[in-house]
Amino acid sequence: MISDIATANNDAGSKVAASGPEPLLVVRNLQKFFPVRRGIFARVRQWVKAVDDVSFTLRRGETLGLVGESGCGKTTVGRTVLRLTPATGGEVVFNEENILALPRNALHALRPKMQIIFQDPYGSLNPRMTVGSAIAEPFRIHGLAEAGAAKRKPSGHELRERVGKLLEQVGMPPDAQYRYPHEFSGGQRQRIGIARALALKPSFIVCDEPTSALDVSVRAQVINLLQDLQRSHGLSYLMISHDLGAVRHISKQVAVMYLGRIVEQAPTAELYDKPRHPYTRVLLSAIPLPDPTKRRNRVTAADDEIPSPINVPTGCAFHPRCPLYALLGKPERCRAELPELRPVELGSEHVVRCHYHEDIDKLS
Amino acid sequence: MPDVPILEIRDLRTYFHTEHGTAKAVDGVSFSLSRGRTLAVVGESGCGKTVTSLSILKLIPMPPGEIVSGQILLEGRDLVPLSPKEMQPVRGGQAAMIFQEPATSLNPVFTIGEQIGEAIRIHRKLPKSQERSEVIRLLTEVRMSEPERRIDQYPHELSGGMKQRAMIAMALSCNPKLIIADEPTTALDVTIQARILELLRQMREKHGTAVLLITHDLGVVAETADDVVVMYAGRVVEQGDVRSIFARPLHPYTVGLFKSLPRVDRSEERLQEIPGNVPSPTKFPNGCRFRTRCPWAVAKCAEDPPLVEIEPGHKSACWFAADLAAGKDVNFVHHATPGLAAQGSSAGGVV
Ligand SMILES: Nc1ncnc2c1ncn2[C@@H]1O[C@H](COP(=O)(O)OP(=O)(O)OP(=O)(O)O)[C@@H](O)[C@H]1O
Ligand SMILES: Nc1ncnc2c1ncn2[C@@H]1O[C@H](COP(=O)(O)OP(=O)(O)OP(=O)(O)O)[C@@H](O)[C@H]1O
Ligand SMILES: [Mg+2]
Ligand SMILES: [Mg+2]
Repeated sequence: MISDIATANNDAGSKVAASGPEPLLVVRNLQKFFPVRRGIFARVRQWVKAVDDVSFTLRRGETLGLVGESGCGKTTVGRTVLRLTPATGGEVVFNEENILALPRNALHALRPKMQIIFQDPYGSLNPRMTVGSAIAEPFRIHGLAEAGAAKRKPSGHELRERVGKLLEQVGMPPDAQYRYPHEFSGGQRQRIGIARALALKPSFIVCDEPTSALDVSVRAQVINLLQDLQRSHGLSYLMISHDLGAVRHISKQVAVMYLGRIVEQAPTAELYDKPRHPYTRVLLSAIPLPDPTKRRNRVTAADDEIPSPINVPTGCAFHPRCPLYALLGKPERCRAELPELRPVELGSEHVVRCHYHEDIDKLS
Repeated sequence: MPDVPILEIRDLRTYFHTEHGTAKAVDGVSFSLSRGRTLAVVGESGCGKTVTSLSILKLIPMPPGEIVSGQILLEGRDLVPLSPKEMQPVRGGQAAMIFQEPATSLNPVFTIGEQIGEAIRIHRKLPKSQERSEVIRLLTEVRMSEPERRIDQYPHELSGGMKQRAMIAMALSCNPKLIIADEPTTALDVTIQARILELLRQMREKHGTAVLLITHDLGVVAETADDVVVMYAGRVVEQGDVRSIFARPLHPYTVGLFKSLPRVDRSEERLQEIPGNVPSPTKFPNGCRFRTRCPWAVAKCAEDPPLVEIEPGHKSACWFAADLAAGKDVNFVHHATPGLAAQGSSAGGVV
C-alpha cells in the first residue's frame, strides 16, 4: 500500500518516500483555510490560506524539520496533522490510516501515539497542578499504555511510579513530581512538557519551537534529550522551528515553507549546502554566523514584509520579493504560473518549487 | 589627549530586596564603551544583562531594586546621584533605549508620527512646521517603506519589523551619543533581524553613536560587536575584543557557551552541554559563581577570582585562564540523559 502511495501520487513530497525506513506519516495536499469575518454576523468573504497544498513524508525514527518565516503556516501544519484543528482538505495517513477521515472514537484510540510539545513551557503547564498531576493527566484520560493491556484506572501508587520513571527519562529527579511548575527553570519546564508527551509512549511527536524560549546551554540539553529519546524509543519528529541551527542539527530532511506552501525540501546537508530556491537562499544567508572573521554574502529579498496569506500573490507567491525574479528581468511566467514542487533532477530527493532554479547560482 | 569613553561603568552593584533574600542581580560590573563602537553583553537568562542596562538609565524599580554602589559615567558625568528630574534630559536625549518588544514601548493610541514628534519636541528645539518633515526624514533613515503613509499609522497597523524600525527612528530622533539595545531582534525573523542589525551598524558609522547591545545570540555578537562582555550570575567573567574572544575564550563558561551552539555551517553528532542550571540570584555560591557547573573547579575556586588581563585587551575571571590561553581544552562531561540507558530496552518496543 505504501508503495502505491509513492507511485500513484505524482506530487514530489510523497516520492521522497521511495527509499529508507518505511513512512510513518504521509501528508498529501493538506489545506487549512481560516475564514476572515468582519463582525460576528458578517458573511465570510475572504480566507486566510494558512496552509495551501502541503505534502510530505515522515519516515519511522526520523526527523523532518519545517522552517520558514513567522506566519508562513508551520504551526497550522502541525496542528492539522494531529487533527487538533480540522483541515480544509487533503489527507494525513498515519500508520496507514487517513486520520482526517477517522470517526471520533477511532481518533481517540490513536491519540496516545501522536503528541505535541509546545514552544512555551509556561503556557502549557497548569500552574496550580503539581508536576506529577500534569504528567499523569494523559493516564487518567487514556489509562496506562501497557502493551495489550485493557484500559483500566491506574492506582495512585502505579501512577507515582510511572511518573517518576518518566521524569528520570528526561533527566529529572522522580520527586520533582510533588513540586509546582513555577519552581523550575525554563529548560526544566520544557523537560516536564516532554515527559508528559512521552507518557503514552507515542511514536510521533510534533515539536513546535521546543527550544525557542531557551538559552544556548539549556537549548543544547533539550536538543540532546530529544535525540536520545529518538534513539531509545524510535520516535519520529516533525520539528517546527525558526532556529535553523537546531533544525540542521536534529533533522534528516528539511522542508522550507513560504506562505502556506513548501517551496523546497531536501536531505538536511544538501538543503543547507546547496539551496536551490531563492527564498531558501535569502533565509539561510540571513543567519548570522558565530564567527567574527567571516562575513556573509547576503542575498536579500526585495521587501521585508511578507505579503499577507489573505491576498497571496499570483503565480509564484514569492515573486514580489524574489531577488532572482528581479535579476532575470521579471519574467512573466513567475507572475502567471504557480511552479510545481519538482525534483531538482530526475529521481532526486531534493525538490524545489521554482521555475528558474537552474539559474540560482546567478545570485551571489 | 586620551579619549573619554561615552560610557564607563565602575563596580556597579544593583540588588533586589525580595522576600527570599537579597538578589545580587548585578554585583560588581565594570566596563567602558567608546564613541562609534558596539559593545555586546552576553550571558544566560537571569545573569543581569537587562538589570545592567536599566541601571544605566536609572529605570530600575526602587524598591525592590537598589543601586547599592558604583558609578555610571556618561560622557564623564556620574548618573548615580542624579535626581529623577535631572535624569529626564538624559533619557531619550544623550542616551536612548530600544527594547525587545516594540509593542510594549510604543503607545497604541498614538500614531507613529505623533510619538516620534513628541520625542523631538521634548529634547530638541525645532519649529513645529519642520517637525513632520523631520519625522519623515527619520523614517526614511531607518529605511521604512512609504514613510509618508506610515507616519500616520498606528502601531497595530505595522508588522514587528516595522515597529522595531519606528522604535529605532524614535531613539535616533535626538542624536543620542549612546543607544542601549536590549535584545532588539530576538522577537523577529532572521531576515528582518539582518536588516535591523545592518541599520544599527550604519547609524554607528554615520553618526558615531556608541551601541550597547544586549543579546544571547552569539551569531549576532560575532557579526555586530567590536567588544564583548560575558556575564555570569551578576558578574563579568570575561571581556575583550570580539575576535580574541571568539578565537580563544579564556573562561570555562564562555567555552561552554560556544560548545553548546548548534551551528548552521556544520553539524556534529552531539552537542556539548553545560550541565546543571544557573544558580538562583539569592543563593550564589561564594568564590567563582560558575564553580558549581565547571569541570575544572577545585578548592581554590571558593576564593573570588579577580578579573585580570591575560592577553592584551582580553580579561578573564578564572584562576585557570592561563591554561586556556595556553590551549588547554575544557571537557564538559558527556552524559547521556540519565535514566535512558537503563530504560532504553524496555521502552524500545513502543513503535
Ligand atoms: N485560528 C486562526 N484563525 C485565523 N487565522 C489564523 C488562525 N491560526 C493561524 N492563523 C493564520 O494563519 C497563518 C499561519 O499561522 P501559523 O501560526 O501557522 O504560522 P507559523 O508559521 O507557525 O508562524 P510563527 O513562526 O510566528 O509561529 C497566519 O497568517 C495566521 O495569522
Ligand atoms: N523587579 C525585580 N525584582 C526582583 N528580582 C529581579 C527584578 N528584576 C530582575 N530581577 C532579578 O535579577 C536577575 C537578573 O535579571 P535580568 O533581567 O537582568 O536578566 P537578563 O540577563 O536580562 O536575562 P534574560 O536573558 O532572560 O533577559 C534575575 O535573577 C531576576 O530574577
Ligand atoms: Mg508557529
Ligand atoms: Mg533581559
